[in-house]
Amino acid sequence: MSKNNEKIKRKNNRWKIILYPIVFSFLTVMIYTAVLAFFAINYIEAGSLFFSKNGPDFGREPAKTYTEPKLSLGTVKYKDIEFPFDGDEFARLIVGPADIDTPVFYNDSPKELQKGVGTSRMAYIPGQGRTIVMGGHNYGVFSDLEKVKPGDRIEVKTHYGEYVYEAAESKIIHFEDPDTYDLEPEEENLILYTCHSETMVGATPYRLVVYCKFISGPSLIH
Amino acid sequence: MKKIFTLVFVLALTVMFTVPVFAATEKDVINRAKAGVKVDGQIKKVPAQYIKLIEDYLAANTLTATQLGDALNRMDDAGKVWAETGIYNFGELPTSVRSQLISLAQSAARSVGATLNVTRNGIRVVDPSGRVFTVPINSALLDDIAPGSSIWKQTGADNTAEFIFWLSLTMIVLVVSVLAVQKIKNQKHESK
Repeated sequence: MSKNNEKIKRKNNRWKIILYPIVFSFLTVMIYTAVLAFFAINYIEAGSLFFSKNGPDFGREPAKTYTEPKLSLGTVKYKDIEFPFDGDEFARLIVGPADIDTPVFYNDSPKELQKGVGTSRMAYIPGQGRTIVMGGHNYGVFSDLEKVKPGDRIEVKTHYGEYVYEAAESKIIHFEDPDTYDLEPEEENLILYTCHSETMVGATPYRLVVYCKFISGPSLIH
Repeated sequence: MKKIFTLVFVLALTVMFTVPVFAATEKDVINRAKAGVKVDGQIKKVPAQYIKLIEDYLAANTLTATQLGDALNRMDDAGKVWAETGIYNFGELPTSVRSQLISLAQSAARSVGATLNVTRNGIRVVDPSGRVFTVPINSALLDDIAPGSSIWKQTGADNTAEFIFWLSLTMIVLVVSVLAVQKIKNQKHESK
């Protein structure tokens, strides 16, 4: 074999020595993540208890407290309702124009977002006369959220009452912009949001947000 | 007879006009928290996250007027302890005062049936039914609230198997392309 061919072969082998381990390691991690994550997550969570400062939280199974509401006006006392725990399915969100009819869960951790719409614990729930923030995945329950236009009717049915909101404005915001929401006003309003990405691949810092004003529903009082 | 009737009437009026003064409400507790503490001529506001914790707790639990009154008294006591120091920043308070304030907060929590724990990571309140309310903090300074997560969660493609699939596919195509190009080059050189 000529010297040139030998040089080329050595050069190619050098590339293979560097490239092959990187690629196959990456592929191995991807495959193991995709196939085993579902099974390994329990062991990972158990292992994390070694480093946790709090004891294990066996908690309670999330409950479904949602039932068809009997009230749409007036007032409801807090003591007469079952205030939701984290993970509880406590309402149903219906947005006709976007073909949304989905359960609403209290809290918006990845667990709740996988099952439907999650309600932010930093905000409030319908009837409290404050800002309610509900998020959903753009490849799932909120895939057609962009179809919501100003004037569209949004219903949130809870076991303690039926709430109606009207879409006022939609916009794309950056998730780090602090001026995109306000939890201070003592006026009931609803914000629906989902991630906004042109490519549908990878993390995105943008959110499609629909701001809705309150139309009707019972007030929660002490 | 008239004297007895007058006495009973006066007593009834006294009760009618004094009971509302002592019957604390949830709104009183929330308003007291929102009012903050006047220290060194300035109003020290309670961070919004603590107000939210109190609001959530009161929404989820039904308390008696006595419990609410006890909670208000503890809040007043805590306010007085802090105001007497004349020190505005919580971090500059003597350790003994900080401990006293935490004790008063724990006592207030007990008066409403809850347990309150303060760690370096946050405040954790657990109600009688096991519901947990938390406020993350950056350190042992109770007013050093940790930013926590954004209200806008990730609700996009980055969490999907679709993303992993496309990324893997891109990597495979890249590798195959590189290998194919190398093979073609090798073949060309060998044919020469």
